[in-house]
Parts: sequence; structure tokens; C-alpha cells
Amino acid sequence: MTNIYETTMIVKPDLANDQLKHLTSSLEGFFNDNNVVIGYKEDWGIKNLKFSIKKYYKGSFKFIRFSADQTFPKKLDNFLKFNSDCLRYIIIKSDNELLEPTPQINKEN
Amino acid sequence: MKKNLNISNEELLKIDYKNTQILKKFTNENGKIIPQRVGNLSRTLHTKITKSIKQARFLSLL
Repeated sequence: MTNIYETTMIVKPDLANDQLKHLTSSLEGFFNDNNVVIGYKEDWGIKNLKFSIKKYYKGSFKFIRFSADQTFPKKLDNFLKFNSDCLRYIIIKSDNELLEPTPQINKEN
Repeated sequence: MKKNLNISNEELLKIDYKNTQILKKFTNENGKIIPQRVGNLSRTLHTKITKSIKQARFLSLL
């Protein structure tokens, strides 16, 4: 049985281009290894955080929505937990449709 | 005193941690969640909103 899940990650804002490419390629590789297709992707840009996380006052927000079976979110949780570029993340079951845009995309901070 | 926020129930049912602009209306100026009797909401809606406010706080969006 497949469900729709979504993750929001806060990535370090001062990453270099090749570091960012490495992060995205490793994430996509992880999705491909588990035979999960990324349904919808969004980049919310760099935002001011309301409080500091690991001494960072800004963060780059990434959003991914995908449909997978029940065992996959735990694997993704383990993957993101040990990723040093990811400051904070959340994985939840989504009520929205797979390709629905989020309200964050057309708003300033 | 009860608050009238002029938001329809259909809109409130779709609320998520991403709708930060709407969630801000359910907090006071100190950032605290307003109580159910003041916000004048049903129990299901209020639990949903409190949960999404806490998720938004975790991601430091609120």
C-alpha cells in the first residue's frame, strides 16, 4: 500500500555549488535505490530563521513530495539524520495531492 | 471575548504547517496559541491547528 508523504528540509545556507549538487545527487540516488519516484519538488529559497539552529541564523528550505510504502519514511529518516548538511527536517503524511503547489512558493518569508 | 477571524471551515480543514500566514492569526502577539474558547473553533479544527503550529515552530517558520 502506498501513501503520499512530504519532507521539508533546512539545509545550510552557505553551501558551495558543488556541495549542493552532491547533496541533491545523493538524495536522488537514495530515492532511486529504493524505487521511489519524486513526485513534486520545490525550493523555498533562503529564509531568516526565527531562532538559531546550530549557530545558523539563515536556512535554505527544500520541499519534496513523493508516494511510497510505509517502510520508506523510516529509511529516509535514517538517511537525513546522519547528513551533516541538513540542519533540520520533518517527514509527515500528506493530505494534499501529489502535484499540488504549496502556499510558501509565492510569499516573502 | 470571542474572536471572529472570517475564515471558512473548508479552508481551515486544509490547513497545514506551510500556511504560516493563516496560522499566525491563531497566535497572540507573544506567539502563544489562543485558547479554543477564544478562537471559537470546534475541537477537531483546534487540535489540527495546534498540531500544525507546533510543526511550523519546529521548522522555525513561526
